[in-house]
This record gives sequence, structure tokens and C-alpha cells, in this order.
Amino acid sequence: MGASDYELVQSASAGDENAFEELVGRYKNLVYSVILRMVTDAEDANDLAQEVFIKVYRNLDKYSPEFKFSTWVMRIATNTVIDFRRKKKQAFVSIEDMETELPDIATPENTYLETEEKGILQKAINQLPDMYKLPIVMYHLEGMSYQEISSSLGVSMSKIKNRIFRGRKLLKDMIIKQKEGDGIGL
Amino acid sequence: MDCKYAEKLMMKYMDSEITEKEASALNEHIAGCEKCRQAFYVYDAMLRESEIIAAEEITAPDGFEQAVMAKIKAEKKPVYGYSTSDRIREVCLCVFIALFVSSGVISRNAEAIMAKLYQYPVFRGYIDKVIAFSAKSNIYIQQAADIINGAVISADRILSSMALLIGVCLLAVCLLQAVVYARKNWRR
Repeated sequence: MGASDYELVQSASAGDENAFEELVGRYKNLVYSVILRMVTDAEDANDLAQEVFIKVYRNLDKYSPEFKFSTWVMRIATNTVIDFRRKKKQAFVSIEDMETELPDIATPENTYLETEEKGILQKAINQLPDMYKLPIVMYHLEGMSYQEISSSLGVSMSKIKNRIFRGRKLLKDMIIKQKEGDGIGL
Repeated sequence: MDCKYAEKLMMKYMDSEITEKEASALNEHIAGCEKCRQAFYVYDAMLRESEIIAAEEITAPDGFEQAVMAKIKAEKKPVYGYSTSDRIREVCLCVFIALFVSSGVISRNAEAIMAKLYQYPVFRGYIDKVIAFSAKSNIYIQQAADIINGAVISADRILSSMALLIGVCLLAVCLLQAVVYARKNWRR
């Protein structure tokens, strides 16, 4: 069995670069995946994910083992991605804007989302404000628990639950509006 | 069951936390409520689609670790070349040398220089002011010296001691900065 995350953190803090490289290897896919789902551009996601690990390295001495290392890394990742989106002014899109930005898709059947239409859900998620988008991505696409999301974002679990419920409702309304716009009924 | 409660049960359904009893109650409700039925279909479809999206494995690009480590190493290396502090040290050094040399020349030949400049009306006013200020400060310093040492030390002596002290301090600062600057650049 390999060294624990905390052992690697301690070695990396003492100057062992191989230890830090191993930590990067352990969490690169999680970090990159969440960031890519938030920003959608692969190049931006790569740059941001690298920036996250550089921040992690610079702040290794601030890591406390009372949190899981993955949770701490995710907190840095989510803050980085929120800053990035804020700078790009993507964060606050009104629901009215979302409707017009959703793609026109011809729906053959009366089911809401067919396999070939999965872009609808992805696009709708992309249009959610960050406060709903992040928990939705982490819960539904990354399979994280409410507890893990709560620790990563530094927000209480009840708030996270509310945001996910609210996010789902927003998504549902967007999809219904989109379908009604296409002239598709039940 | 009202629609609000039905929506709560739908959320429980999406969290895989709904009980059989709750599921049958929800079924009963959506059979008779078109709005909730529509909502349930969408939620159910969203759940299935999110599972498909989540199953797509996203991996970081090749060479990710190496890129991160290269950036970290680049950050650690000392930055050679002119930094702001280098420039400040250089300016300190030049200013000090210029002042040191010029003040030495001026103080040795102060009277001759002032006599020469006094011939020009442009400088005459300034030189008068300098002489008046110098005389005044000499009086004050002499008074201070009288009080402290019972006129043992002359005003000139105090002035020259102060000038020497300031000069030594400036020289020490200058030397320190020069050593730091030289050590940093010789390491190249």
C-alpha cells in the first residue's frame, strides 16, 4: 500500500517533489473533470487545473489533516473556478437569457431527453448561476455526497441541499420552456 | 397530497431516498396532476441523462503532472536580471557616491566656490540666505553645546561630528547594499 495523502503532504512540505507529483497524479482527474464541467473549454480547464495544483503546493503548510486532502483540494479548485468565471463575467445569466441561448433541437418523440439530445441538459447546466451549478455538477456529475460538497464549498449541508433542489427546479423549468418553444407537448 | 409535497418526494426520488410507500403515493398524485407528471418526466430524464454524462470519464491531459512540476520548479528558481530591489540598490549606490564625492569637494572649497558664485547676481540671493542660515544654526548649536557641556565643545565640532555620523551611516547602508547586490549577481 502506498503512502497516505497526509504522509505525501508532509514529504512534499519537506521539499520532496516526487511526493507532490504523486499527489497531483492522484487528484488531477477529479480536479480537471470538475473544472472542465464548469468552464467547458478544455484549454481553460487545463490551465486552471494546473493553477489549482500550484496553489495547493504554495499552501501545503496550511493544510490541516482534519479535512480530507481531496476536500481541501476541491475547495481550492472551486474557488479558482469561481474567480475565473467571475472575471469572465459568465456567472450571472438570467433565466430569460438561458432560454434564448439553448440550442434548437428537433425532438422526434414525446420523451423529454433522448440520448442524442443530452446536449440539452449539459447546456442547461452550463447556463445555471455558479451557486447552483457547482453543487449540481459535484453531486450529479461527479458523484460527490452532500457532506463532501458542503466541506469543499465551505457551505452548510442544508444550504447545499437547498441549492441542489433549486438548481434542479431551474433546470427542469429551462428544459420545459425549451420544449414548449419547440412546440412539443406531453 | 399537494404539489409542493409531491415535488419534495421527487427530490427524494432523485437522491434515491424515496421509500416504496412514498413512491406509490407520488405515482397516485402524478396520475391525476398533469403539471407534476410533466415535472416528474423531466426530473426522471435529467437523472438518466446526468448518469450518462457522469459515466463519461474525463481525464486530465497527458503530461499534466510534468507541466505542474515544471511550473513549480520555474517558480522556485531565483529570477536573474534587474529586479526592482536591484535598481533601488543601484540608485542608492550612485546617489551616495555622487553626494560623497561632491560634498567632499564642496566642503574643502566651500568658501572659494561661494566667492566665485557671489559674482553672479543670480546666485547672490541664495548665497546670502545660506550664510544667514548657517550663522543662525551655528548660534543655536553653540547655545545647545553651552547648555550640555558648559561651552567645552564648539559648534563647529558638533556640526562636524554630526556630519561624520551621518556620513558613516550612509556609507554602511551603501556598503551593505553593494554587498547584497554583488553577491546576488556573482552567483550567476
